[in-house]
Amino acid sequence: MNSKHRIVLTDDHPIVLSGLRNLVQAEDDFELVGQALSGLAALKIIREQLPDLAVVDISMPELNGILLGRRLANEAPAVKLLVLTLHEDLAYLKQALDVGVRGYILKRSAAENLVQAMRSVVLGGLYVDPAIAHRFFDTGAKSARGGYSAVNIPQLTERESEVLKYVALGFTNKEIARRLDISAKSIETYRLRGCERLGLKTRVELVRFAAAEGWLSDV
Amino acid sequence: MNLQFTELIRNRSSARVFVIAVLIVILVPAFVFASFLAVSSARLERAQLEQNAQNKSREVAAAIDREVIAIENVLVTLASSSHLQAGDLEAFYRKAVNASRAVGVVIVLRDTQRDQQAVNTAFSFGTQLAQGTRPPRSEADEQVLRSGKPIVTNVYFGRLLNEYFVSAMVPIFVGNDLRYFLSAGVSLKRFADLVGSLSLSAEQVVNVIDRNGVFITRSLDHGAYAGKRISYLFPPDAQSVVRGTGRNGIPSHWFIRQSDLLGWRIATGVPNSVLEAPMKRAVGTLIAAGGLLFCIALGFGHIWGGRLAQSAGAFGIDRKPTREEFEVLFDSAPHGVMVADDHGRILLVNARLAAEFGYLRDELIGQQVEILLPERLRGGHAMLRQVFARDPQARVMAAGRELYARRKDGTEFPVEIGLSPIKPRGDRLVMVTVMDISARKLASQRLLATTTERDELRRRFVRAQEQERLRLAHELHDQTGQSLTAVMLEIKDIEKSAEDAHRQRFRLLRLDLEQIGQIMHRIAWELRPASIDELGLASALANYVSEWSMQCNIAADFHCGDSRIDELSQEICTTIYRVVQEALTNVAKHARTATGVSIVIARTDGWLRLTIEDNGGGFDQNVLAESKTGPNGGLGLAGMRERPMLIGAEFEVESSLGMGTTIFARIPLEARRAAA
Repeated sequence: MNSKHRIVLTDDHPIVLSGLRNLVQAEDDFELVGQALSGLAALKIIREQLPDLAVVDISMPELNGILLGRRLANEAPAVKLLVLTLHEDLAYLKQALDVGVRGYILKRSAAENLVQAMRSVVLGGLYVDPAIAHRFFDTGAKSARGGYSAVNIPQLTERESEVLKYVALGFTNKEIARRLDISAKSIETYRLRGCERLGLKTRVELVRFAAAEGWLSDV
Repeated sequence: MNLQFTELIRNRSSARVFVIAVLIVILVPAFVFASFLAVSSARLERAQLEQNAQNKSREVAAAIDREVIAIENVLVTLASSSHLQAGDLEAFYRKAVNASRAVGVVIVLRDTQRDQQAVNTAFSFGTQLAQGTRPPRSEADEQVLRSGKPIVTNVYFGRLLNEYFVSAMVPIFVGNDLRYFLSAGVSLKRFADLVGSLSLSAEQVVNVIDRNGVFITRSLDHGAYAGKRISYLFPPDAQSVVRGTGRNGIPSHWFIRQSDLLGWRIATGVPNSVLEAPMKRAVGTLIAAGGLLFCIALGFGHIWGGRLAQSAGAFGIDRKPTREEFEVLFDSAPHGVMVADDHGRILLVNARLAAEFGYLRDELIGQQVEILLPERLRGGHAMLRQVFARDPQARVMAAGRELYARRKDGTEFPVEIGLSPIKPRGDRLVMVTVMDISARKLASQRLLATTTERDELRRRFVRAQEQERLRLAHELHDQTGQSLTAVMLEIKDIEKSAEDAHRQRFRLLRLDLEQIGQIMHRIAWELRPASIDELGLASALANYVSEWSMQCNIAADFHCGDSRIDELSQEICTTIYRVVQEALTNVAKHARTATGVSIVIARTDGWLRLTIEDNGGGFDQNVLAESKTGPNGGLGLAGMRERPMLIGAEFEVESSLGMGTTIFARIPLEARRAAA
């Protein structure tokens, strides 16, 4: 068994790629088996070489890192992926993790931490750049709350459910008032009362409830 | 229109009430004064009637007294005749017969010792007169006679002559003996004649009654009353007024006078109805005249008040214009006005209309209204006119469509036409107002063109701005970011082979560059997150919302209910992203009490609905509307409105104090836009 970890590097920026190459070649336990300047080229070379680890960028011509990850998850699930990117948006991180990427590191910390990240991932760990990791786990905790019990739905009056339905659909109070022929002030009252009964606090909660109830489909 | 009409009625009636009130104020005192005069004169008339009756009683009394005194004088003259002293009754008879004939009475000489008639001029001398009636005498009469003075008896029935009489009687002494009574029997008819000879007015009835209360005579129906006893008692006064109903059943006033000489009473009766007649007449006349006057005043006030309201106008509101004023009004109307009959003939045209169409007024009068229309519309118009004539109502002609009129020279211009049916004296006429709207149309076209151009410019500006941001962001992020990464990697490489003294400096340099990279990333992200294009709007928004939530420490929840959101055009995606961005910025800036924000995207029947709701303090929409450019976020709203407008979206903000603020954006999707 080869003791060296086989590595493929991908970046659409040649100078960055050469910088990365220097970084990897300086490490004894890494063996660079291929490099690519575009998404499709990366896909091709990874399929051929089946490396232990592929470092990919997200923003790449032809095939971006996320789509590449999705394809590799099917075609070469053994290849571990480390995303090296400029993007600090959590959205990218989430998407990347969704498609099975095992590491996410920002380019600005590459010089300092890339090698460490590569080692973590290649050894079966999970690496998220510390600069965004704390935000990711913060929101993760937040979005875990909420949710209602679908078992015990209190009875709403016909008016209340009508009003809540239109509110969930995104109608303005004025529009609802016109459709139901009641005053805009009453709409607010019906909505407050209805939401209180259901234990819903925000519009998003109401919309999710409405979607679950199937209210939104019949329009 | 209706309002003016009721106003007019109210004014007219108020003028009427006013005039009638004035008339009544004038008439009532006059009427009271007239009543006073009429009643006084009626009283005077009645007093006159009463006075006449009293005078009549006195007159009758005096006449009877004179008559009786005359008879007594004849008796006294006879009584002093020497024949009686000598006892020559036959000579006395002859003398007495002469006297009786002269005076018209029956003279009787009664022997007191034998108590029988010795001489009776009604019979020839020597006739047996045994059953002759002895005239009734009271005790007082007897004493008067013994003292040698004459008396006049009450009424008695003379059996020999079968008639009622009153006798005057004188005693005749022979020596010292009371030997005879010489009496003159006066038939009651004589008194009747006497009363009859006095001129009585028609309503007066004179009764003459003796001391025993027996009728001597009555001016009416003497035969039925003479010798009968009266049915009631007179008061003992010499002069009095008695009210009562006579035998004939007529209630009357009796004016009574007692004769001093005879003690008889003369009563002149006047029926109550006659006495009361003047007052009744006066009151009747007053009521009739007063009522008539009142009615006339009322009618007069009604008509005059109405006319007053019309001509002067109670307060100048409902005055009708005079003919001259009307002509000025008609001609100075700011639009063309004409009147046409129901056959479409022009009857009246104002100067403005004639000038607008380039005709002289006389050229138009009598023509069909179609002369003012373009040829292609004339046929259809005649039919429309008939439709209008069937149900004439004031309206704007062909509301909502464009109308064109034709000048004399054949040019056409856009018009607005108002129709008002009028109905003078049963003719059906239509007043037509013609307004030249060329200027208005031109202005609105220009405005539309300008607005379209402005919107297009704005759209281009926004697009250019977005492109520029995209370019900048790309430049910063991808190009510069990559270069920076390359530089850092290079430094790292050099750092490894460098001496220890330099290694630390390289490391610090690297850290500085890392900082720069972070800042550049931040700037690029704020300019335009690449994730919109690479990951889709939903992910980009979700990320933005959670970033914002952490930064502002306000709970924020994002829900995208549209599975096809990634099919939206880049323009729409950018707009939605920017609206959310701006809305959340506003929440952070203004909704200080907000603890939660919901962002929802949903697709319903061809619309994409974006709703952003916070639970902050909200604001009063009326207040905000007044200060659109105020420092407190007015501009924020305006900025938010701007972008959706450019992609044809509807934008609405609902807020009220204490209820938070909700922003609604309704974006038409491609299919709908194409159809619209």
